[in-house]
Amino acid sequence: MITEDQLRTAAGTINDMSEAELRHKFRQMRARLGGRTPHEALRQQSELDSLELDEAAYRLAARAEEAGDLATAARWYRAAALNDFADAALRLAAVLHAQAERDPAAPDSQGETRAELHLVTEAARWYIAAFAAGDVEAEEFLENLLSRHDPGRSRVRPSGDDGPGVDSQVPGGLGQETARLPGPDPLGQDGSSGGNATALRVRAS
Amino acid sequence: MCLESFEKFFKFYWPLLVRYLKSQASNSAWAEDVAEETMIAVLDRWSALLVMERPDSYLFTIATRKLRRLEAQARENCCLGEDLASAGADLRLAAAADKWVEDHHDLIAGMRSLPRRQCEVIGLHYFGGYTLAETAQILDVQEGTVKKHLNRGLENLRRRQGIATAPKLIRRIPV
Repeated sequence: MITEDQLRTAAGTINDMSEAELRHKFRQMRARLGGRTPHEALRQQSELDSLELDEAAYRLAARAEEAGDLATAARWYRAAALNDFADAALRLAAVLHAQAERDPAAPDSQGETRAELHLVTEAARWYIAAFAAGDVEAEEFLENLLSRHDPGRSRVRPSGDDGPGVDSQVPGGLGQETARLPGPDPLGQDGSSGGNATALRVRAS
Repeated sequence: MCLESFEKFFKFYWPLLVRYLKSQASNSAWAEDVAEETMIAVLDRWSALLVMERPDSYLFTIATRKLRRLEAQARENCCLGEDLASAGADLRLAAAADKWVEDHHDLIAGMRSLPRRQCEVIGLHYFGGYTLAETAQILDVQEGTVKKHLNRGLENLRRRQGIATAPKLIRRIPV
Protein backbone atom coordinates (compact mmCIF):
# COMPACT_ATOMS: atom_id res chain seq x y z
CA MET A 1 0.00 0.00 0.00
CA ILE A 2 1.39 3.38 -1.02
CA THR A 3 0.00 6.44 0.66
CA GLU A 4 -0.08 10.14 -0.11
CA ASP A 5 2.32 10.63 2.79
CA GLN A 6 4.91 8.58 0.92
CA LEU A 7 4.38 10.73 -2.14
CA ARG A 8 4.85 13.89 -0.09
CA THR A 9 7.96 12.49 1.59
CA ALA A 10 9.47 11.63 -1.79
CA ALA A 11 8.52 15.07 -3.10
CA GLY A 12 10.22 16.66 -0.10
CA THR A 13 13.60 15.22 -1.06
CA ILE A 14 13.29 15.13 -4.84
CA ASN A 15 15.53 18.19 -5.23
CA ASP A 16 18.32 16.74 -3.12
CA MET A 17 21.37 16.39 -5.34
CA SER A 18 24.93 17.31 -4.55
CA GLU A 19 26.38 20.48 -6.00
CA ALA A 20 29.20 18.43 -7.55
CA GLU A 21 26.73 16.20 -9.36
CA LEU A 22 24.72 19.16 -10.59
CA ARG A 23 27.88 20.87 -11.87
CA HIS A 24 28.88 17.64 -13.61
CA LYS A 25 25.47 17.32 -15.27
CA PHE A 26 25.53 20.93 -16.34
CA ARG A 27 28.99 20.57 -17.87
CA GLN A 28 27.88 17.37 -19.57
CA MET A 29 24.88 19.12 -21.09
CA ARG A 30 26.96 22.05 -22.26
CA ALA A 31 29.47 19.68 -23.82
CA ARG A 32 26.66 17.94 -25.67
CA LEU A 33 25.34 21.30 -26.77
CA GLY A 34 28.80 22.43 -27.87
CA GLY A 35 29.41 19.25 -29.84
CA ARG A 36 26.10 19.51 -31.62
CA THR A 37 26.39 19.65 -35.39
CA PRO A 38 24.16 22.06 -37.32
CA HIS A 39 22.33 19.02 -38.64
CA GLU A 40 21.62 17.79 -35.13
CA ALA A 41 20.50 21.24 -34.02
CA LEU A 42 18.04 21.34 -36.92
CA ARG A 43 16.81 17.85 -36.14
CA GLN A 44 16.16 18.83 -32.53
CA GLN A 45 14.38 21.98 -33.62
CA SER A 46 12.15 20.12 -36.05
CA GLU A 47 11.35 17.54 -33.40
CA LEU A 48 10.34 20.33 -31.05
CA ASP A 49 8.19 21.89 -33.76
CA SER A 50 6.55 18.57 -34.44
CA LEU A 51 5.47 18.37 -30.79
CA GLU A 52 3.44 21.47 -31.47
CA LEU A 53 2.02 19.84 -34.60
CA ASP A 54 0.47 17.12 -32.43
CA GLU A 55 -1.37 19.83 -30.58
CA ALA A 56 -2.41 21.54 -33.82
CA ALA A 57 -3.68 18.22 -35.20
CA TYR A 58 -5.73 17.69 -32.05
CA ARG A 59 -7.28 21.17 -32.33
CA LEU A 60 -8.14 20.64 -35.99
CA ALA A 61 -9.72 17.30 -35.14
CA ALA A 62 -11.79 18.82 -32.36
CA ARG A 63 -13.06 21.54 -34.68
CA ALA A 64 -13.95 19.03 -37.36
CA GLU A 65 -15.70 16.86 -34.77
CA GLU A 66 -17.73 19.82 -33.60
CA ALA A 67 -18.65 20.58 -37.19
CA GLY A 68 -19.79 16.98 -37.64
CA ASP A 69 -17.05 16.14 -40.14
CA LEU A 70 -16.13 12.82 -38.60
CA ALA A 71 -13.80 11.65 -41.39
CA THR A 72 -11.64 14.76 -41.05
CA ALA A 73 -11.80 14.54 -37.27
CA ALA A 74 -10.61 10.94 -37.40
CA ARG A 75 -7.72 11.84 -39.70
CA TRP A 76 -6.38 14.55 -37.37
CA TYR A 77 -7.09 12.69 -34.14
CA ARG A 78 -5.15 9.78 -35.60
CA ALA A 79 -2.13 12.03 -36.19
CA ALA A 80 -2.24 13.15 -32.57
CA ALA A 81 -3.05 9.74 -31.14
CA LEU A 82 -0.08 8.10 -32.85
CA ASN A 83 2.13 10.26 -30.65
CA ASP A 84 0.02 9.62 -27.55
CA PHE A 85 -1.14 13.23 -27.37
CA ALA A 86 -3.61 14.05 -24.58
CA ASP A 87 -6.83 12.02 -24.94
CA ALA A 88 -6.59 11.82 -28.74
CA ALA A 89 -6.79 8.01 -28.64
CA LEU A 90 -10.12 8.06 -26.80
CA ARG A 91 -11.46 10.82 -29.05
CA LEU A 92 -10.36 8.97 -32.18
CA ALA A 93 -12.02 5.78 -31.00
CA ALA A 94 -15.21 7.67 -30.23
CA VAL A 95 -15.24 9.32 -33.65
CA LEU A 96 -14.65 6.02 -35.44
CA HIS A 97 -17.33 4.43 -33.29
CA ALA A 98 -19.71 7.23 -34.22
CA GLN A 99 -18.86 6.76 -37.90
CA ALA A 100 -19.60 3.06 -37.64
CA GLU A 101 -22.93 3.80 -35.98
CA ARG A 102 -23.81 6.56 -38.38
CA ASP A 103 -23.28 4.43 -41.46
CA PRO A 104 -24.22 0.89 -40.49
CA ALA A 105 -23.81 -1.55 -43.29
CA ALA A 106 -26.79 -3.08 -44.90
CA PRO A 107 -26.76 -6.79 -44.00
CA ASP A 108 -26.66 -7.77 -47.66
CA SER A 109 -23.89 -5.40 -48.67
CA GLN A 110 -20.51 -7.06 -48.41
CA GLY A 111 -18.47 -3.98 -49.33
CA GLU A 112 -20.20 -1.80 -46.80
CA THR A 113 -19.86 -4.48 -44.15
CA ARG A 114 -16.14 -4.52 -44.77
CA ALA A 115 -15.96 -0.74 -44.36
CA GLU A 116 -17.94 -0.93 -41.14
CA LEU A 117 -15.75 -3.74 -39.89
CA HIS A 118 -12.69 -1.64 -40.62
CA LEU A 119 -14.11 1.27 -38.59
CA VAL A 120 -15.09 -1.00 -35.72
CA THR A 121 -11.69 -2.72 -35.69
CA GLU A 122 -9.82 0.55 -35.61
CA ALA A 123 -12.16 2.03 -33.00
CA ALA A 124 -11.58 -1.04 -30.83
CA ARG A 125 -7.84 -0.70 -31.21
CA TRP A 126 -7.91 2.91 -30.06
CA TYR A 127 -10.31 2.21 -27.20
CA ILE A 128 -7.77 -0.34 -25.98
CA ALA A 129 -4.97 2.21 -26.36
CA ALA A 130 -7.01 4.79 -24.42
CA PHE A 131 -7.76 2.25 -21.70
CA ALA A 132 -4.08 1.39 -21.46
CA ALA A 133 -3.26 5.06 -21.04
CA GLY A 134 -5.69 5.33 -18.14
CA ASP A 135 -9.05 6.28 -19.64
CA VAL A 136 -10.96 3.49 -17.95
CA GLU A 137 -14.32 4.50 -19.42
CA ALA A 138 -12.93 3.27 -22.75
CA GLU A 139 -13.61 -0.27 -21.56
CA GLU A 140 -17.33 0.34 -21.35
CA PHE A 141 -17.40 2.05 -24.73
CA LEU A 142 -15.46 -0.86 -26.21
CA GLU A 143 -17.90 -3.40 -24.81
CA ASN A 144 -20.73 -1.37 -26.22
CA LEU A 145 -19.01 -1.15 -29.60
CA LEU A 146 -18.31 -4.87 -29.76
CA SER A 147 -21.74 -5.89 -28.58
CA ARG A 148 -23.37 -3.81 -31.28
CA HIS A 149 -21.05 -4.79 -34.09
CA ASP A 150 -20.35 -8.41 -33.35
CA PRO A 151 -21.16 -10.05 -36.67
CA GLY A 152 -22.40 -13.09 -34.80
CA ARG A 153 -25.14 -11.14 -33.09
CA SER A 154 -28.40 -10.01 -34.51
CA ARG A 155 -28.25 -6.31 -35.18
CA VAL A 156 -30.55 -3.65 -33.90
CA ARG A 157 -31.50 -2.08 -37.16
CA PRO A 158 -33.01 1.36 -37.37
CA SER A 159 -36.58 1.51 -38.44
CA GLY A 160 -37.22 3.63 -41.52
CA ASP A 161 -34.78 6.42 -42.35
CA ASP A 162 -34.33 7.78 -38.88
CA GLY A 163 -30.67 6.89 -38.69
CA PRO A 164 -29.08 4.13 -36.74
CA GLY A 165 -31.07 4.85 -33.62
CA VAL A 166 -28.17 4.05 -31.36
CA ASP A 167 -27.02 7.51 -30.49
CA SER A 168 -27.33 7.05 -26.80
CA GLN A 169 -24.67 4.39 -26.88
CA VAL A 170 -22.08 6.27 -28.87
CA PRO A 171 -19.63 8.42 -26.98
CA GLY A 172 -18.39 11.66 -28.28
CA GLY A 173 -21.03 13.62 -29.98
CA LEU A 174 -24.04 11.66 -31.09
CA GLY A 175 -26.10 11.11 -28.01
CA GLN A 176 -26.42 10.93 -24.27
CA GLU A 177 -22.99 9.45 -23.76
CA THR A 178 -21.45 12.69 -24.92
CA ALA A 179 -21.81 14.07 -21.44
CA ARG A 180 -19.65 11.30 -20.08
CA LEU A 181 -16.76 12.07 -22.39
CA PRO A 182 -15.60 15.63 -21.80
CA GLY A 183 -15.77 17.62 -24.98
CA PRO A 184 -12.61 18.60 -26.76
CA ASP A 185 -11.44 22.16 -26.52
CA PRO A 186 -10.86 23.05 -30.16
CA LEU A 187 -9.65 26.56 -29.55
CA GLY A 188 -7.83 25.92 -26.35
CA GLN A 189 -9.88 28.62 -24.72
CA ASP A 190 -11.49 26.63 -22.00
CA GLY A 191 -10.40 28.34 -18.86
CA SER A 192 -10.75 25.22 -16.80
CA SER A 193 -8.40 23.20 -18.90
CA GLY A 194 -5.96 25.80 -19.95
CA GLY A 195 -6.41 23.85 -23.12
CA ASN A 196 -3.83 24.73 -25.58
CA ALA A 197 -0.78 23.88 -23.52
CA THR A 198 0.00 27.50 -23.09
CA ALA A 199 3.31 26.32 -21.81
CA LEU A 200 4.23 25.60 -25.39
CA ARG A 201 3.81 29.18 -26.31
CA VAL A 202 6.15 31.77 -25.09
CA ARG A 203 3.88 34.00 -23.11
CA ALA A 204 4.63 37.37 -21.67
CA SER A 205 4.25 37.48 -17.92
CA MET B 1 21.98 34.45 -23.83
CA CYS B 2 21.78 34.69 -20.04
CA LEU B 3 23.72 31.53 -19.32
CA GLU B 4 24.06 32.41 -15.67
CA SER B 5 20.31 32.54 -15.12
CA PHE B 6 19.90 29.32 -17.10
CA GLU B 7 22.48 27.62 -14.91
CA LYS B 8 20.46 28.52 -11.83
CA PHE B 9 17.32 27.24 -13.53
CA PHE B 10 19.12 24.04 -14.52
CA LYS B 11 20.44 23.38 -11.04
CA PHE B 12 17.05 23.90 -9.49
CA TYR B 13 15.00 21.89 -11.97
CA TRP B 14 17.36 19.14 -13.13
CA PRO B 15 16.87 16.84 -10.13
CA LEU B 16 13.12 17.37 -10.19
CA LEU B 17 12.82 16.84 -13.94
CA VAL B 18 15.01 13.78 -14.22
CA ARG B 19 13.40 12.08 -11.21
CA TYR B 20 9.91 12.95 -12.40
CA LEU B 21 10.81 11.31 -15.71
CA LYS B 22 12.34 8.29 -13.97
CA SER B 23 9.07 7.80 -12.13
CA GLN B 24 7.24 7.81 -15.48
CA ALA B 25 9.53 6.01 -17.88
CA SER B 26 9.92 2.31 -18.48
CA ASN B 27 13.58 2.93 -19.14
CA SER B 28 15.65 5.17 -16.86
CA ALA B 29 18.26 5.83 -19.54
CA TRP B 30 15.51 7.26 -21.74
CA ALA B 31 14.41 9.43 -18.83
CA GLU B 32 17.92 10.87 -18.59
CA ASP B 33 18.10 11.41 -22.35
CA VAL B 34 14.72 13.10 -22.50
CA ALA B 35 15.63 15.31 -19.53
CA GLU B 36 18.88 16.36 -21.17
CA GLU B 37 17.31 17.00 -24.58
CA THR B 38 14.55 19.00 -22.94
CA MET B 39 17.05 21.13 -21.06
CA ILE B 40 18.88 21.76 -24.33
CA ALA B 41 15.58 22.78 -25.94
CA VAL B 42 14.97 25.16 -23.06
CA LEU B 43 18.46 26.62 -23.37
CA ASP B 44 17.91 27.11 -27.12
CA ARG B 45 14.86 29.24 -26.31
CA TRP B 46 16.07 30.63 -23.04
CA SER B 47 15.93 34.32 -23.88
CA ALA B 48 12.32 33.96 -25.01
CA LEU B 49 11.37 31.75 -22.07
CA LEU B 50 12.80 34.22 -19.60
CA VAL B 51 9.76 36.45 -20.06
CA MET B 52 7.39 33.57 -19.31
CA GLU B 53 5.62 33.53 -16.01
CA ARG B 54 6.43 29.83 -15.53
CA PRO B 55 9.23 28.60 -17.83
CA ASP B 56 9.22 25.40 -15.79
CA SER B 57 5.78 24.50 -17.13
CA TYR B 58 7.28 24.62 -20.62
CA LEU B 59 10.04 22.32 -19.37
CA PHE B 60 7.58 19.74 -18.06
CA THR B 61 5.25 20.01 -21.05
CA ILE B 62 8.07 19.31 -23.49
CA ALA B 63 9.61 16.57 -21.37
CA THR B 64 6.29 14.77 -20.89
CA ARG B 65 5.47 14.94 -24.59
CA LYS B 66 8.92 13.80 -25.63
CA LEU B 67 8.77 10.81 -23.34
CA ARG B 68 5.24 9.92 -24.45
CA ARG B 69 6.23 10.12 -28.07
CA LEU B 70 9.37 8.06 -27.58
CA GLU B 71 7.48 5.37 -25.69
CA ALA B 72 4.60 5.40 -28.19
CA GLN B 73 7.09 4.74 -30.98
CA ALA B 74 8.80 2.03 -28.97
CA ARG B 75 5.43 0.47 -28.18
CA GLU B 76 4.51 0.54 -31.85
CA ASN B 77 7.76 -1.24 -32.66
CA CYS B 78 7.33 -3.65 -29.75
CA CYS B 79 10.64 -2.66 -28.18
CA LEU B 80 9.41 -1.09 -24.97
CA GLY B 81 10.63 -3.18 -22.05
CA GLU B 82 7.52 -3.20 -19.88
CA ASP B 83 7.64 -6.82 -18.85
CA LEU B 84 8.29 -7.65 -15.22
CA ALA B 85 11.92 -8.68 -15.69
CA SER B 86 12.87 -5.58 -17.69
CA ALA B 87 11.00 -3.26 -15.34
CA GLY B 88 12.64 -4.78 -12.28
CA ALA B 89 16.10 -4.71 -13.83
CA ASP B 90 15.73 -1.12 -14.94
CA LEU B 91 14.52 0.00 -11.54
CA ARG B 92 17.46 -1.73 -9.87
CA LEU B 93 19.84 0.09 -12.20
CA ALA B 94 18.09 3.38 -11.54
CA ALA B 95 18.28 2.79 -7.79
CA ALA B 96 21.98 2.00 -8.01
CA ALA B 97 22.60 5.26 -9.85
CA ASP B 98 20.35 7.51 -7.79
CA LYS B 99 19.92 7.45 -4.02
CA TRP B 100 16.52 9.12 -4.25
CA VAL B 101 15.21 6.29 -6.43
CA GLU B 102 16.72 3.76 -4.04
CA ASP B 103 15.08 5.46 -1.04
CA HIS B 104 11.69 5.47 -2.74
CA HIS B 105 11.97 2.23 -4.67
CA ASP B 106 8.49 0.94 -3.79
CA LEU B 107 6.87 4.20 -4.63
CA ILE B 108 8.60 4.49 -8.00
CA ALA B 109 7.76 0.86 -8.80
CA GLY B 110 4.15 1.57 -7.87
CA MET B 111 4.00 4.67 -10.00
CA ARG B 112 5.52 2.90 -12.98
CA SER B 113 2.85 0.24 -12.72
CA LEU B 114 0.08 2.81 -13.12
CA PRO B 115 -1.53 3.66 -16.44
CA ARG B 116 0.41 6.51 -18.03
CA ARG B 117 -2.03 9.36 -17.48
CA GLN B 118 -2.50 8.54 -13.81
CA CYS B 119 1.25 8.37 -13.36
CA GLU B 120 1.77 11.71 -15.12
CA VAL B 121 -0.85 13.48 -13.03
CA ILE B 122 0.55 12.14 -9.77
CA GLY B 123 4.10 13.01 -10.79
CA LEU B 124 3.27 16.56 -11.80
CA HIS B 125 0.98 17.25 -8.87
CA TYR B 126 3.04 15.73 -6.05
CA PHE B 127 6.60 15.90 -7.35
CA GLY B 128 6.31 18.99 -9.53
CA GLY B 129 4.07 20.77 -7.06
CA TYR B 130 1.67 21.88 -9.77
CA THR B 131 -1.95 22.62 -8.98
CA LEU B 132 -4.59 20.58 -10.75
CA ALA B 133 -5.23 23.48 -13.12
CA GLU B 134 -1.53 23.79 -13.94
CA THR B 135 -1.27 20.03 -14.39
CA ALA B 136 -4.22 20.16 -16.77
CA GLN B 137 -2.46 22.88 -18.73
CA ILE B 138 0.76 20.89 -18.98
CA LEU B 139 -1.04 17.72 -20.07
CA ASP B 140 -3.46 19.59 -22.31
CA VAL B 141 -6.56 18.09 -20.78
CA GLN B 142 -9.42 19.48 -18.74
CA GLU B 143 -9.07 19.92 -15.02
CA GLY B 144 -11.87 17.42 -14.41
CA THR B 145 -9.88 14.81 -16.30
CA VAL B 146 -6.85 15.51 -14.12
CA LYS B 147 -8.94 15.05 -10.95
CA LYS B 148 -10.28 11.78 -12.29
CA HIS B 149 -6.81 10.44 -13.12
CA LEU B 150 -5.45 11.64 -9.78
CA ASN B 151 -8.15 9.88 -7.76
CA ARG B 152 -7.84 6.68 -9.76
CA GLY B 153 -4.06 6.77 -9.53
CA LEU B 154 -4.05 7.29 -5.77
CA GLU B 155 -6.60 4.53 -5.34
CA ASN B 156 -4.47 2.17 -7.44
CA LEU B 157 -1.40 3.04 -5.37
CA ARG B 158 -3.29 2.43 -2.13
CA ARG B 159 -4.37 -0.97 -3.38
CA ARG B 160 -0.85 -1.89 -4.41
CA GLN B 161 0.60 -4.83 -2.53
CA GLY B 162 4.25 -5.54 -1.89
CA ILE B 163 7.36 -4.61 -3.76
CA ALA B 164 7.43 -7.10 -6.57
CA THR B 165 4.05 -6.38 -8.11
CA ALA B 166 4.26 -6.76 -11.87
CA PRO B 167 3.60 -3.73 -14.00
CA LYS B 168 0.00 -3.98 -15.04
CA LEU B 169 -0.61 -5.66 -18.33
CA ILE B 170 -2.61 -2.72 -19.57
CA ARG B 171 0.56 -0.66 -19.95
CA ARG B 172 1.91 -3.27 -22.30
CA ILE B 173 -0.89 -3.31 -24.80
CA PRO B 174 0.66 -1.97 -28.00
CA VAL B 175 -0.95 1.05 -29.56
